[in-house]
Amino acid sequence: MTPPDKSVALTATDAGLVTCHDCRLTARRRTIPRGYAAHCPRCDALLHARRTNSLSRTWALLIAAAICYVPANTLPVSTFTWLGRGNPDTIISSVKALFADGDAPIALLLFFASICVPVMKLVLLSWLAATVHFRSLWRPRDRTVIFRLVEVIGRWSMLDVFVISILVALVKLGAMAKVEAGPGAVAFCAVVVLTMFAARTFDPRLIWDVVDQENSA
Amino acid sequence: MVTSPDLIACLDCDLLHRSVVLPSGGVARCQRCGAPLYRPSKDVLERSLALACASAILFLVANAFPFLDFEVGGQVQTCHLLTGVTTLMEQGFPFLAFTVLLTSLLAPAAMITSLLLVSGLLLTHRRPSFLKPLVRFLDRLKPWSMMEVYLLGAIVSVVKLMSMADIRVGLGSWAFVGLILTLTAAVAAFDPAAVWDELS
Repeated sequence: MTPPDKSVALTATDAGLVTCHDCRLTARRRTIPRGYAAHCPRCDALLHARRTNSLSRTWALLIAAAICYVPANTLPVSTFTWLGRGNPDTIISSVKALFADGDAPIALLLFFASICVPVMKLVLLSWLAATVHFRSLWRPRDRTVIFRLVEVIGRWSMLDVFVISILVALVKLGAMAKVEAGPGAVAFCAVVVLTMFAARTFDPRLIWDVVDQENSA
Repeated sequence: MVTSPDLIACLDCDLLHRSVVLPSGGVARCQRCGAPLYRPSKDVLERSLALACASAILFLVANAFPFLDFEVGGQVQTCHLLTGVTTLMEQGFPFLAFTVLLTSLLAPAAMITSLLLVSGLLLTHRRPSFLKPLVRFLDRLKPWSMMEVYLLGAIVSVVKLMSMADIRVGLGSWAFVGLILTLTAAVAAFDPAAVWDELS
């Protein structure tokens, strides 16, 4: 696996090519009249050199996710009713309760999926977007790896939503035992979905564009 | 439009590479950022059709048979895969219900259907106009299928409830585990690069 020229790293942009985001065909870039769009000759998808308005869209989704993060952690995500008495739980109180009950592995798992992963996604994506915004040249490869990591682990923060959906389905014995979802779960689910969109909107090639422009200047 | 089928640009850093033939089991990675570029593929359509058929059968079994039984004080509560969605709806949480429905049922079902259609149609040399949009749709669906996360959620729920009730694992659960394996394998076998080569 070698780039066409070993001494100089050539990017698709340098070569005047655009990659189709859907089928990865590389096509020669052409100027097109205003109001027209270029379509991929192979799969008909719209051709873009980079994801459209990547940075502003990523910021918008991250801000929305950060706003939802507050009710997600302060409102109850579920209410467990046992023998007529209801016991609302927030994300943090349910993890604490699991630790107190001695279910350490499960508590750690939920702590990781419901607290660590969403915070990591919000913090790391904001940091990545900020480094692009401020045209940072710091370790582009490591930043790209961090981005891929965020994309891969992001889905696991959905764990708590699934746990709630299974508990409400299983525990419905009227006043004796019952689990109900809470408004916090809606906000939490929104955080997960919004950060997933944010990760998909962020274009990691922007990290390298800054480096490439700096090198050619 | 001029295209360069032998060139491949890294989707993570834009570096251009010339495609080469890889030994089986190998993977081409970007020289600059390490992102995987492509893998060698074999019998793409046959494999994905076979695995998608298996997935379709397991999907039906996973939905038709009980997922988990919950027994406390002689009362038994049986839940299916879909019960969580309907209960969330009844409790007034349509957004949660829809997200769970999409990630545990709709996305996998749509992926199985599109895999069956695309590989079936290409193997019988038919190219209806919806084929290209379908291949693109399949690629966009991938992040929304979260069955493996759902399975972990089921394990967590069982452990949480074990102390207060008897939990029985139903046939639906086993089919669901099988479905995760076959659908993951089907998606891995379905190499989009080879399919687009076939289509162009």
